Amino acid sequence: MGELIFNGAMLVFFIAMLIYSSQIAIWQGHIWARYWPMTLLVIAVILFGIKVVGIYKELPKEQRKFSWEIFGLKNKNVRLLLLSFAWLLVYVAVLPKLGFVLTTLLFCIGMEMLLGAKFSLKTLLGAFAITITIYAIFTWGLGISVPRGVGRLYDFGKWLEYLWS
Amino acid sequence: MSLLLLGIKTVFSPAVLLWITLGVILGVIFGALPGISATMAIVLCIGFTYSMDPVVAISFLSAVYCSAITGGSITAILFKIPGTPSSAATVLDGYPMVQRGEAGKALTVALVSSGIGGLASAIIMFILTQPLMKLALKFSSSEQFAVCFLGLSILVFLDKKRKLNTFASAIVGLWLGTVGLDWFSSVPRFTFGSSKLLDGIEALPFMLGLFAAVEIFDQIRNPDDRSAFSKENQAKLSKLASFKELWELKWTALRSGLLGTLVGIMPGAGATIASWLAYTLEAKFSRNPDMLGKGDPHGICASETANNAATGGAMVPLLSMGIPGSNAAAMMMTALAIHGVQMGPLLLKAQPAYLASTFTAMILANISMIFVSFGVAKVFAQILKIPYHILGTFIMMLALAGCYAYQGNLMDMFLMIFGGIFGYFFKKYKFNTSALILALVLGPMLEKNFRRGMEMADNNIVAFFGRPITLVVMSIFVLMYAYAFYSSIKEKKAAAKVSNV
Repeated sequence: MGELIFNGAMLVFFIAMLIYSSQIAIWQGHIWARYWPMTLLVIAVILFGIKVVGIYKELPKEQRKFSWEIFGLKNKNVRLLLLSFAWLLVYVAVLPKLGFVLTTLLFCIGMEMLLGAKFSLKTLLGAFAITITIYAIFTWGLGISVPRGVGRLYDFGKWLEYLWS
Repeated sequence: MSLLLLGIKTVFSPAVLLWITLGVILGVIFGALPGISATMAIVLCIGFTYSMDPVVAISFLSAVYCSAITGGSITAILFKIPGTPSSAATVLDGYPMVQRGEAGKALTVALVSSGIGGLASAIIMFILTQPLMKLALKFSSSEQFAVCFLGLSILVFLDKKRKLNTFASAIVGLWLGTVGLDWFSSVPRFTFGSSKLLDGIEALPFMLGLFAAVEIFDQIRNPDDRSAFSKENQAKLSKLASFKELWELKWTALRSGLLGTLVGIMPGAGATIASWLAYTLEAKFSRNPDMLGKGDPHGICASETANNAATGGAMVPLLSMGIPGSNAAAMMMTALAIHGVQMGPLLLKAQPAYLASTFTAMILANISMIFVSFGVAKVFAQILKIPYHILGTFIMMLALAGCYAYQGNLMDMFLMIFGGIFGYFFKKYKFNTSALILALVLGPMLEKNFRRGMEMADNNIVAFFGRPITLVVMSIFVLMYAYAFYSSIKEKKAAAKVSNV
């Protein structure tokens, strides 16, 4: 059922994109700007249509009913997985505000726990080591400027960058 | 011959040899870092060369250029993070070998194959620059379209049991390649009014999500049996490939080296197409094609020999015509120009020492890479002994930092996360992420060459496909698919006969 939902969602998405593609402007006779993606979308709709029909036919009748249980939310690892998606998004959203060092340290602690570690000194040291290693390679080693954060964190980030030079 | 002797005389000094070795080590390290491509590796190293003698500078940068492509295979094999798109094919067989506890063997195969590929192309380049350049000039948009199309023909061999899923994956990748500003008319496509999507979907961050992030998500969802890295198997981790095992790959290396050199000569084709075409070819010639994609060293050898052979090929149009064959070659052009090298037809007459030292340095760098690779392979294989909750976090952080380092843009990190989440479900429901990535990389090239070729042919499709080289390449494509279709019908009939019995 999950496969049917995914393929169905892809089919709906590509149908929507196909309709949207008709609005792509044709400028100075460059017709392929519209028709190249449109051709690909037509093929995508056909392929996903065949898949959806095929999957539906292969599903036993009793499995054709929708149920929230197919998402497996009662399974602990599924909840951890969804949490990891959210954790990544939070990391990137917060990065410009808190700066690279602090955000990465917090992210690494969380990530280690998602991967099965318990909150302990070892976990903290591991997160610290990873943060420093990545910072050393990219900022000190390669001169790539990373987000410094705002306020005091910005000053700290700037100080840390120039520590090496 | 006189050019070779001039090269040996110019380059064989302690200072130059030392800088070549350093260039190899730096290049491998830079190439291993995701987001730090061969192009960026050269940019970062140019600064060291300002006060150097031109021959020393050229030799050092040539070594960095050759070895940076190789470095991408290390993280591709160990962490499933291709350092560059050209190492994506290496993941298919490299990572399964690591899961079997054969990390050292996989790394040796990759690094030695890279050295051999680069060496072969440097030698071919030395001897055949002029005739190869004449061949390259015959390749216009129509021919490049045909070669890209042939590159997509790998799809037929990627997953024979799920052809519909493989084709659907490729179509998704081709469509994703259309997002952003249209190259010819600058019309926005599928950007939904967002300025952040005007540059399109960058392949590298998306690929890091599809490969690295998905692997970490898999580990969270289904904590793996890490018995491959148990104490009993740890001795295997750093066990390198033997000479006998490497010798078994000789025909694969030869085929892939020649193919990579030829493909590298074509401007815009580059190491990515070379590695995938070589992988396709290996699927045709392999005695055990079912093993490809499940940890067959031949797969790694094909991909890595070809992508390094393309480095030499890309130098052919660069040095003889001043036309760079790839982004990294374009950066080499800038670097060489800084040191007074005047690329073009007169290079051989006006500055033979510079031409000779470039070729000779590339040959020496690739030889040195073969020896350096044994030390690098043993050291990197030890990384896998780190507990997974730390290693996995490091891999995720390396991928995220690599995405940011690529263009200094947070959008690339979001792209990686989107690629990871989408890729997780894509893989779960048995779609083919390799086909998606291949199509995402080749799609824009395919479209550009098609549209440019059609403009040049005045929208006459017969004139477009009627060019001799295009006709030959498209015929190969048609024959490959016809053969695959015929084979699958034959297999179905044989299976039906067996079930009736």
